[in-house]
Amino acid sequence: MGPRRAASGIIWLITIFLILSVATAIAAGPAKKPVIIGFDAEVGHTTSTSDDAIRIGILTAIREINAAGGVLGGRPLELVIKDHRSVPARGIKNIEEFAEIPDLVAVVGGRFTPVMQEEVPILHEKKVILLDAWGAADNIVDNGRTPNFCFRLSLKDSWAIQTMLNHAAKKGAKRFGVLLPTTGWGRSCEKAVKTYLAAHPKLSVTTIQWYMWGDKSLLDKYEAARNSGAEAIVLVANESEGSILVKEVAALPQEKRLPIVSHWGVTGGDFTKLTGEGINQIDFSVVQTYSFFDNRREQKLKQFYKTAGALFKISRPEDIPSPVGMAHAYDLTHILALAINKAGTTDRIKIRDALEQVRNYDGLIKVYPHPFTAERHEALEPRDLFMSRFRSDGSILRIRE
Amino acid sequence: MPRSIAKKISLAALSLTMAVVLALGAASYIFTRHTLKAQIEEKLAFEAALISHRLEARLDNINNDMRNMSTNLIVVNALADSAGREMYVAPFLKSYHLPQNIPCLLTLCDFSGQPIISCQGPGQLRAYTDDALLTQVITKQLPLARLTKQGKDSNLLIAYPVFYSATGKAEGMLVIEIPLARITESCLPDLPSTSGNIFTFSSSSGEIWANRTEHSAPVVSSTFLVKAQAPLDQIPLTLTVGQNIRQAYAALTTLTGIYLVIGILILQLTFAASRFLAKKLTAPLVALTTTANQIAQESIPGSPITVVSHDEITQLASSFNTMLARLKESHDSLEQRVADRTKELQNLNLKLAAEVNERSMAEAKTRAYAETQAVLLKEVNHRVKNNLVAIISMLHQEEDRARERGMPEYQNRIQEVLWRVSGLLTVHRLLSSSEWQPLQLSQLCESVIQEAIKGLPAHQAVHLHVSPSDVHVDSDQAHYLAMILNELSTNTMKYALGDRQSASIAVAIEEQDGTIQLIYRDDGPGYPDPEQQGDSPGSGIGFHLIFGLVIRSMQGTIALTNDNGAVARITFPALVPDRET
Repeated sequence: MGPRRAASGIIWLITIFLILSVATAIAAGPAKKPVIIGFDAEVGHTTSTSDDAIRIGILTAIREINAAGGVLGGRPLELVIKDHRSVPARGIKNIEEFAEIPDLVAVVGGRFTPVMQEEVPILHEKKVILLDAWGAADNIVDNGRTPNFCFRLSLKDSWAIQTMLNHAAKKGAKRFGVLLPTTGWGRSCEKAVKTYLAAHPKLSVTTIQWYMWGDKSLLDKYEAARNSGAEAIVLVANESEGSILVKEVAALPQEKRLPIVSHWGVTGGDFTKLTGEGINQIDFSVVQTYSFFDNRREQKLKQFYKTAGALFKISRPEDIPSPVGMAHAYDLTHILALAINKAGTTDRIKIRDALEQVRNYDGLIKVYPHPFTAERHEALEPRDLFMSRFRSDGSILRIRE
Repeated sequence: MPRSIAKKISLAALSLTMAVVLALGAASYIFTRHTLKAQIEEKLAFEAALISHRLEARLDNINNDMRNMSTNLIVVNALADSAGREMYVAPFLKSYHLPQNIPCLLTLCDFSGQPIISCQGPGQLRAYTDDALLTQVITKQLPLARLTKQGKDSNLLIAYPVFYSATGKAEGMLVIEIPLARITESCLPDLPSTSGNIFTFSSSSGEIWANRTEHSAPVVSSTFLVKAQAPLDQIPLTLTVGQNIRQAYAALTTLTGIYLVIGILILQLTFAASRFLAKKLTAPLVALTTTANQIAQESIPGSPITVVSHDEITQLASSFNTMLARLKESHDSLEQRVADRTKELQNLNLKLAAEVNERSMAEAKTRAYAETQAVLLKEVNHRVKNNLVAIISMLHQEEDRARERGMPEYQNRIQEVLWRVSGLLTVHRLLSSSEWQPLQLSQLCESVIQEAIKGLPAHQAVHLHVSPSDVHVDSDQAHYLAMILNELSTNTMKYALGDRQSASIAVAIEEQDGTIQLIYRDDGPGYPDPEQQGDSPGSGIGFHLIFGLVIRSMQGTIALTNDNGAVARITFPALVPDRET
């Protein structure tokens, strides 16, 4: 091949490359404007891991949705996070700021029930959809507003209390001492306890002890409950106060250690790290909605691990902190994407309506034939709840009953 | 007149008494006032310190309450709680009471200063959203205290951050507002004795509260700095306890009244006593004065003064009589001495007049003699000058005649004589014009030499330079020097100038140690050797004359030398004693 033929070949190659580049650019078109999902969480909370779990769940789902072409004909989803530090006033301010973001379709809520309880009015005022991935107070969703902008893919306190007391009753306890925080969450649980006992007259509550967030000891409340004749303790707490009680009860003589059935707030942080060996020395069970150890939906879990592994190097259940938050957020984000496409717009009012219209979503936790309806904004059901226990490494294992 | 002395004495006594009373009264008043003021100041300082300490304790208590309440879990929990916090926070806040039921507004706010709940219920919710407060309490997480205005009243505001254990940060704040006047009033004593005090409470921005609104400032006051704990130390509060002038010196008013009454009584008593004593003391004096007036009106001290008394005034009357007798005697003696002295003076005046007349006549004679002498001198000068001029004229005629007859040697001799006489005429003119007083030597040299060289032909010239000098010579020395200079000039014209067109003469004059030295030099060929020696008078009539005049007449010396010309050094005494003529 002579030099002239070689030069001609190079020129042809360059020309073909340029034509292909231009064609690709034309085909891709201009970058599409992202659709925004907000996440209002307790990022600044020093011991919480639930915000990380929810964030990972959302981002894993977003990655899958965007890889599949995004929403509204190719627009990518994007996550904007704001920190409420578990303080309601900051949560309200965050919602006000979220409402001003163009193309924001919904805000995913974190663990702290009191924050979301106080956000309910501003959410409706600003017409911002709340997707509750953890907060358990009944009245977050059952807020009496129409149209209701609050949706939940999580448990609620009435179901949790029912599951916890059922579990305790199965273990033979008939009298319960209840430890509640002086917050909206605590009051929601108090109501749930009373409702449950009204339907189960053979069971009774010997005392309800109220504690404050930030209390350095719950022993006096525990002792008061034990002295009242309680056979089991119903604990509603987050990881900080829950770990204090565990350590204090573990330090008591064996005969003074009552079984503790706990709400799932304790799984919102690195609970076993906070309790140390104490968790292995008492009978401590916690309500859950999902376990990565006990998944009956293997294909979906593989898909989740594939995406989350690429993003966050998560490949096994032990890698997942606060697992329920991650699973709830993952399924919620996918349901939201379906609703956005169904609405065909980023208008939040239409998306809210569309959320009630989504059908047959095959999720990580289960298949949702009809996740939300106009009358029901709870994606889970009481039967989805079960009791679990902590393993020494922090993993949460389902208790087979 | 005598009455006025009594009045003056009584008035003097009264004035003295009044001055003493007033001085004592004033001193006593000032001392009492000073003492009273010191006591009041001490009392007010004690009271100010007492109230300030009470206020400090009260403020510190409130501050401590705020610190404790802000860390109470009930309050902290309320930040994270939603509906229902009223169940426990409201009773908690309402349970807080200040002493004496001072009203306060205790508010729990969120991180943005928005009120969550207050001790006065939902109707009294106040926001604290200013940047400075939020920066200090929420961002810097430090307590803050400051004064706020509520209409005319000032409120004390204390804000404490409420830390939330879950985040370890200030997520809210507890704020209390208290009317400062009520706190201050609660610390004031309620004793009736102190009800008149003026209490003023101030900060760096000025007065913030006072229990009275009087126009006059307290005359006596004591100020105390309230030292409360942080953050209240951010507000420099001072308490001033004062009393106005009327109240402070109320005790002095009574004292002044007592002083006045006592003073008036003392003055009246003094006045009456002094009047009585003055009349009694001045009665003999009045009698003496009356008698003395009678004597004075008669102008002749004929009768002696009679005074009936037994004290110093009787002695005064006796002395007065003796003095009158001596005065009369002295008067008579003085009259006689005046007459004698007057007569003596008249004689002396006559003698003096005669002597004056005699002296006037002698003076007139002397003046006439002097005038005659002056006229005579003038005439003599004139005649001498005329004679010398006549001699010169005759010598000119002789010279002309010798020239006509062809007798050059004779002509030269006449010429030399002519020069010498002209020199004498020159010095005579100078002495006449100075009335034979000493002449300035430099002027003499200048005049004589100029006169000598005046007769040179038109084509020849001699340049003369005489050094300035203040040396003077008397008339005799002037004559001798005139002849000497004339001879030297003649010599210069004859030998130094010769046939040349110009020559120069320089004269220097010096005086040292009573000796005058005159140096005459020209720029000619110099003296022949015999002439230089100065001991060869036979070399010519000129040098014979010069040596004779210098050595014999002026008792001086002369040395002839050559130094680029002829040089003659003549020295002679400044004062010539006995000179030969």
